[in-house]
Amino acid sequence: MPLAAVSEKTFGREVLGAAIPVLVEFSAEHAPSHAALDDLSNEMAGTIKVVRVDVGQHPTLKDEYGVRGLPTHILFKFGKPVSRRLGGLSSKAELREWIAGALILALATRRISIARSATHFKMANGMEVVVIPDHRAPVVTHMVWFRVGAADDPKDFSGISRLVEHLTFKSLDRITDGDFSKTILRLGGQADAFIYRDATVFWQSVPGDQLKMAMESEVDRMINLHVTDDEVASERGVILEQRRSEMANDPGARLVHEMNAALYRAHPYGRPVFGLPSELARLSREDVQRFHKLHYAPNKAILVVSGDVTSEEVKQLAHETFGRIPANPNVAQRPRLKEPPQIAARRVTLEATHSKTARFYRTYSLPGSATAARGETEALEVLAKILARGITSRLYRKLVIEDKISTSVTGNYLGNTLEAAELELMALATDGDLSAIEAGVDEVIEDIRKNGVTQEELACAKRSLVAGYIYGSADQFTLSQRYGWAAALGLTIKDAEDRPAAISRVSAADIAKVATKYLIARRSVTGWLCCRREGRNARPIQASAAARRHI
Amino acid sequence: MDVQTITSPGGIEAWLVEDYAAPMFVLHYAFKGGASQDPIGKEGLTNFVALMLQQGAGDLTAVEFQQRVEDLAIRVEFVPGVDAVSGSIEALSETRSEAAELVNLALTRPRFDAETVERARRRLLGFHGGEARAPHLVANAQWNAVAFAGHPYGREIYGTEASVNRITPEDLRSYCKRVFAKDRLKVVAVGDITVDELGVFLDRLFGDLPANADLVEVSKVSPVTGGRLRVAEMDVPQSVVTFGMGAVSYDSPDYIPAHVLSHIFGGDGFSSRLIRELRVKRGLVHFASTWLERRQHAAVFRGRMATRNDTVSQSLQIVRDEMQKLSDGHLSQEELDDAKSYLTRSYPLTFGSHSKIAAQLLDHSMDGFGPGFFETRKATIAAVSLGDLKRVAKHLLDPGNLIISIAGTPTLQPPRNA
Repeated sequence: MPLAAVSEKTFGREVLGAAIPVLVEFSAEHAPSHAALDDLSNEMAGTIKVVRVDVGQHPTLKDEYGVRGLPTHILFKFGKPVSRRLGGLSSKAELREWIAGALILALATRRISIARSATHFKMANGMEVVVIPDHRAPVVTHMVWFRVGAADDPKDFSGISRLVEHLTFKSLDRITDGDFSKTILRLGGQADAFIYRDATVFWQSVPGDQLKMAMESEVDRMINLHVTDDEVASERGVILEQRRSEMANDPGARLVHEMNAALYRAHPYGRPVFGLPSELARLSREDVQRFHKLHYAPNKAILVVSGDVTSEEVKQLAHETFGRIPANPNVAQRPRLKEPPQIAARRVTLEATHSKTARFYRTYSLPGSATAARGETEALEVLAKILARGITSRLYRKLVIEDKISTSVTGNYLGNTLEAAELELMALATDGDLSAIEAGVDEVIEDIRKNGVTQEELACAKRSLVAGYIYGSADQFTLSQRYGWAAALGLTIKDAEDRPAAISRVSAADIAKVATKYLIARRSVTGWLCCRREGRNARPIQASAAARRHI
Repeated sequence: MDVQTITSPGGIEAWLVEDYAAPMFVLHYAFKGGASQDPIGKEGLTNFVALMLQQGAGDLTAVEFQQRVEDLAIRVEFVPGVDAVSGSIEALSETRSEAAELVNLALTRPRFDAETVERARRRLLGFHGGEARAPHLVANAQWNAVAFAGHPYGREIYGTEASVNRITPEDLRSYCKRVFAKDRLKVVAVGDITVDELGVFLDRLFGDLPANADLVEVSKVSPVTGGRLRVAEMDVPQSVVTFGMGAVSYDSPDYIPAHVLSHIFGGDGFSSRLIRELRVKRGLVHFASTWLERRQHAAVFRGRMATRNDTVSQSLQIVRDEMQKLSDGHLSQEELDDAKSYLTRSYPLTFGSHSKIAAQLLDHSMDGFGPGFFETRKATIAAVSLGDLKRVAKHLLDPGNLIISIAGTPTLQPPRNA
């Protein structure tokens, strides 16, 4: 059956005014350029319409849509071309994939249009500024990123970056007579800080008209660190409690910490994120003040403002506030020990004290956003999704559905790093048989390395990741994080905004390439979280004998 | 923000906030019932059902169902609660009707295939052996068991290993029939959808559910009074402490003053009494907070902190002392003003996304407030006087009623008399 032909007269109604997406073939032939088109037109009736334009008869349309070669296919949605390709089609699968990718991307472009007008500039003192206008609510998210993180703790001073981050809050309250925290609260705002391996982030969410107040506070934070010896001592205690909550009390977190140390023997990424308690205990007021002076400077900082503001407003306010601070020519560089090449697979086993569900962990060291070759990080993200995220993933199907040896799997590509990054996999064991899980994981990875992934799973994973990106764009915090990371890692605004497009470009060949290159034993560390057998050494959790009336 | 109350052609009521800034739409809904409906011996049934709802329905197997969700680029969630099973749908405008059909299928024709049920059971048992043994969950479960002994609230939503093992596919099926009905349903929609479109959507999603639920009556209950202390021995370096007592319910005029009081005692930020005394001054904790807990049949004032095993007694003494001070009326106008300012001004800032708006409004709807509550709330908070605060503090915050549950190996000394 020939495709419906449209003319200059009917193009408006049939294509631009259609309620569903329309695929237009521009060709000079009377038959479709590929049989697949005809099939698809029938299969997807109601979802997608396929028509053709004879360019010989309708040269105006050809010119209007810039058709330079034949055949050209353009996908229209709500009257706008959303994607095009030149040249013949090789298969129906390829055609489907292109259409699905293009439509998802079209959604993405519409949804994140609020973020498309982000701007970036640098002030004379070296401080970078990113502005992301978002006028849905009279709220701004204000972040200052410093290019310093836990991996910048000097040798024997682990934990100092976190201690300084904590203490800046005490210092701010001292300068403002306790007013910083209170003012933020009175305004109904929120304030917090995060510390990563390569970055420290201070964040506030405040009403739109309070942006200047937030900036002035951050200026204080950047130039002053006024604390007493007692305050340093009590804050060390707070960090030790945080370390106990987030690590020492949690067997999984302890194992991950050990795996990290195994993966990076020289590089500071292997250091404990909370510092070693023995080193933390020695940190003095002079130490934290020295560290603050070396790292908290405008030429190491990025301001990210998203919300109900314009680029001009932010520019002016930033010049009036942060612009006053001179650059510090003596800021610390980031010399980091290179990790020697790993020559063998490594493994770590930990016996959990109170868990009786064993867990399997596998982490591969591979490039992150700042070090990967073009297209690799997107391919790794799609690979992690196909491998281990959701019940349609390879590992879930193999370990949970078919072999029934695991009850849950997860996987992540953690690419926001300056140097090495990780792809991590985790599986909960059904009845403690971690060697069976390990064999299954190796089998699935080997299969992907050898045979690649299918077009269906590729398309599905990409759709899901792009959709996740779109939904995330609805949140100012998530949006600010994306741009902040890009700037902190030396990438551009365009890199951040092109993420969904880059994801939808990932091909099966790209996946096969990164899988073969990076998912290899000598880049890995394997972690087993084992359990003491109940009734022997393990102490089952029991309430102490009597519910004492104690008060 | 304009909250409309609408009724679909099929008679389903909902609150709607229209917002056309982005072509997406969020629906949050809840069926009253929840884990308080789990039969004795089958604790964990609600949790089991919620896990199964995404595991195949109608002609779709679990994997096919999930593939459909991913194909449509929608987000579908089912969340088990003590008092309700709630759910949410996030969809781009153009996949809205497919989303309604898919979730309708899950609610009306869940499959509960034997093999999928067993897979879910293994997951739940794995949870009991693993995640459920995290100290904070252990402390919480123990607190509930002590405070609400003999009441459904005394049981955990995820049940026990034994009760999970007893649940059959027939239990799952009959639960859905009993609970998923139109008369116990609350719905909030936010986003790119008109009144008429929402009507069509609601009828497609819920229209063929039974009219009436068949629920077991749950009685009102108060946490035990007179104070309790219970320790779950765990080999961890830090003890997690859950503490709390009875409070005032939503329909009481004291509810909002109690909310303000809880903020002053252990609310957000670095200014609360507990954070100041425990963290800022002494470095004993990384976090310590208190809140009024949302429950349909009980009013609870609850708090949590974590501190190393040998500072548990000292930290608890500080909690008692600070509570006693509030009870004795040591409260200033400035503190009240700061708290009011925070509680009224932070509230609109939490409406940062469709999903957050919908969640907040659904909570209000479940608590029995009208669609105008989010506006009257501000005036109600502003009207709280220092006198109100002191009256409620005296009546509510008696350290002698503290129920304390600890997971860890704390070294405990008897409390000093306040």
